[in-house]
Amino acid sequence: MTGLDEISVRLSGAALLAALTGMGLVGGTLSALFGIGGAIVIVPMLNALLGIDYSLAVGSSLCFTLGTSAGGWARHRRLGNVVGKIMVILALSSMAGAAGGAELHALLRGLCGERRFQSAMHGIFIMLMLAIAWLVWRDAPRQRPGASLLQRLSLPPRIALGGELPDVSLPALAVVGVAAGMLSGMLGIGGGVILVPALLLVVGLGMHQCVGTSLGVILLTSLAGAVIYGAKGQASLWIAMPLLVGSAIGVQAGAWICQRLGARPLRRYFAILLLAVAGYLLIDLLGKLRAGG
Amino acid sequence: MTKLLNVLLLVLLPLAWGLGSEALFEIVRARRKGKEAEHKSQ
Repeated sequence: MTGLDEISVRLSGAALLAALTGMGLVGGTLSALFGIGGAIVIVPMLNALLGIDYSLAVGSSLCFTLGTSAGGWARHRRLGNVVGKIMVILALSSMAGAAGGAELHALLRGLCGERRFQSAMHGIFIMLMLAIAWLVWRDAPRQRPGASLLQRLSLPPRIALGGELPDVSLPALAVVGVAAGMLSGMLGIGGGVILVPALLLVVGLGMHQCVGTSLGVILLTSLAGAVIYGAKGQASLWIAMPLLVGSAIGVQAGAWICQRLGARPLRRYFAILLLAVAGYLLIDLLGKLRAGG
Repeated sequence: MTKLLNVLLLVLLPLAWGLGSEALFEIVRARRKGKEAEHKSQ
């Protein structure tokens, strides 16, 4: 395992552990406030703020995501919010996608070279954050029951979900899983950014079922990703565990704040936060490019 | 062997933390509910 003093080029020892715990605290608060894992903000900030190599940040973030999604999934499972059939199909396709995403990450690193790779990852995160900020800012159209894209697609075979849920196309569901997995394996994020809107708008599940089912998929996807990156020596518990400790405290703080704010302002704050982080990354990227050339 | 152990630790420790902390919070929630129910009955 990568030693504590080899992780960051800017901090070491207790200062590094404190900084990581602080980042976990922010990530946990975001998680409870906005229903995201927090990794989309944590991964680029590990690189930009602490100078941690992107591959190590991605691998360690997958271990962190594994811990946070396990707790959330256990809770939602107890509450009956996990749709088993969808979870299994999405998880299998998503795990395959995660393996592909990890390969793509390694390929990009090989093609770009060290310095350009860090800048390319910054660029990918900036574009992703801008896209999500735009999606979050505008109100999502309300879905009529049975009118979702996947329910109307006639791509066979279709599977029955049981209960009041309508049939959905298996290949279309698998494509959603692969896309979320690719994003997870490539960038170290949970993939909830794709899974929750897809389950809500494309499959047509209720919000609680979306969150519970997507957490189960994220759990298995991050497990696959953590194994792949861990086997390459590109994941560290020195990063993942302080993040998890901070996150456990942050989640409680986030839940407390969440009860005092409405849904609409929350969406707007989230979009503003993403824009702010994207702006910081852009400044860091420009600095890196200037230093490089 | 060391590599396998390393990967196992990378997976099992975060899993144990996630599930363990959730179980702990569940106990705290159950206790709080119990106390609230007791308070209401009084």
